[in-house]
Amino acid sequence: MNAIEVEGLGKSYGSFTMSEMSFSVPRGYITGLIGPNGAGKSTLIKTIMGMVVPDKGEVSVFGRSVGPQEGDYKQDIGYISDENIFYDYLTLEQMKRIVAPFYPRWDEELYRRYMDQFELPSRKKIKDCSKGMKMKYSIALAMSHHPSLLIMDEPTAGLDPVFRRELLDLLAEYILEEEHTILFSTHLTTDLDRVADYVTFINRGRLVFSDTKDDILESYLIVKGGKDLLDGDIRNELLGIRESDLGFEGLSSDRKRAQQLFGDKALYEQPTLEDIMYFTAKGGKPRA
Amino acid sequence: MPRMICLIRKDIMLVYRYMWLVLIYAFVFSGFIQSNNSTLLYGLLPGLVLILGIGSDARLPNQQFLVTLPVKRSYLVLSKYASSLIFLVSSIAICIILNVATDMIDFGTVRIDLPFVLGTLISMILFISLYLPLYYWLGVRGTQFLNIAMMLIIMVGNGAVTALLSSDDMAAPLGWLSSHALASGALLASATVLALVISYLISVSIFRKKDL
Repeated sequence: MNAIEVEGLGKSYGSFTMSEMSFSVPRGYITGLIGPNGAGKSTLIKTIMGMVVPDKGEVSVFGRSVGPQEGDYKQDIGYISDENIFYDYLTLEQMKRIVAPFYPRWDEELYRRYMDQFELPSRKKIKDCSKGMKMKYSIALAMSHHPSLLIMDEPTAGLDPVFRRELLDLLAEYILEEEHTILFSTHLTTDLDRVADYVTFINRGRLVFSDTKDDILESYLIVKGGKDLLDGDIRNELLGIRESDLGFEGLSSDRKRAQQLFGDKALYEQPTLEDIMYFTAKGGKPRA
Repeated sequence: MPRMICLIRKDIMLVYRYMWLVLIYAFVFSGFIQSNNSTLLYGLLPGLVLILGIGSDARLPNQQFLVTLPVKRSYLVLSKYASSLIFLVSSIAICIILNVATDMIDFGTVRIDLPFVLGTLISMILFISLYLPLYYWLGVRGTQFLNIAMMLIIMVGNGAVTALLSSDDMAAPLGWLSSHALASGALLASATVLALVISYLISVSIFRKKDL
């Protein structure tokens, strides 16, 4: 069973439209949700968490339907927001006393261990904590009720490199448990290079791809060559092209096809997730 | 712990920081300082407590937090009504205690104006019935203006209702009501409960569709 199933999801507000999005988050793995700012990552996560009501489509978590009239499915979710959603005039201890009773599996000992590990002072008011402390606190609260699914919205944005690495180690440790799943939205793709098993890429409210990281990296290819290699048909074969006086650099989603087209007249490079995101967002063409 | 209890407990914890403000207000507007403690105290203290209690998690991030809890949205709304009623009864109890204390000190006897207390209770339940759907509809920014408008309504409305009940024109209807105390009490109670139920259904239908 997949941890999350998204089927034909659609949502419009203002100038933003999310259209017919369908994908799944496999159980037992780390899935990275990537896309440029405004792509719809937060809207998607908020929909899963019941904060945004979709115009159409279905979302389910561990087979249970998601929506404003559902609440129980969130027992299995540890949610970490990119912003502080807690009552900032309360202390960390007071906030914990509000959250803990909602979860029958709350583990006070585990919570204390995280508070010690992250060096968080229980009596400090949330508003007086730094961004990093608030994020650590959010992680401590989310992990202390033994969730099967961690949903994290841009958790590493604004964090120092030391804690970012610590957080990734923590996620790697959490995922060791077979039943655990992580959905992790970010635009810092280097984090996903380290830990993600699957990558879901959305751009302008549309799904570009959702696949294993290894398959994605194996199928995409960066081609570099002189401008004389480019004509109308070739341009259409590439997802995005960056041209300069010296030549061009383009991304192909079909490694074999690109090598057939350019042969030994071009140079080839393995793209990173950031390259794929950059060229796709720039070119704006979804993968077939 | 049942989730409804957790939500009510949360509201009580959030309003706890205003405790001193409420107690100071209650003392200043009681018979210890004022010549007549009824109007200002009964008129404004329950309204103040309700607005503080309901508004304690009105900010959008806090609304988002509530929705991430393993609770249905309709439960969140229901708990707000339950907390509001608890705040209302508690604040009226504070008014009664202060009233009794000042009467004991000033006159050596206890006088509780039961119709006035019941009138305050019913008018405040109607206030909750009106306020909560507007609170869910307008969100945090709208609620700031709503609070000012509602405090004015409480002040003006309370004076107007008191004046109306004291006027000669009301003598006959009030006389009829007091001679049919059971029937009029049942009618009033039914109308109040109906107002609360309708208000709750409107609030749920607004909050269910709201993007946070």
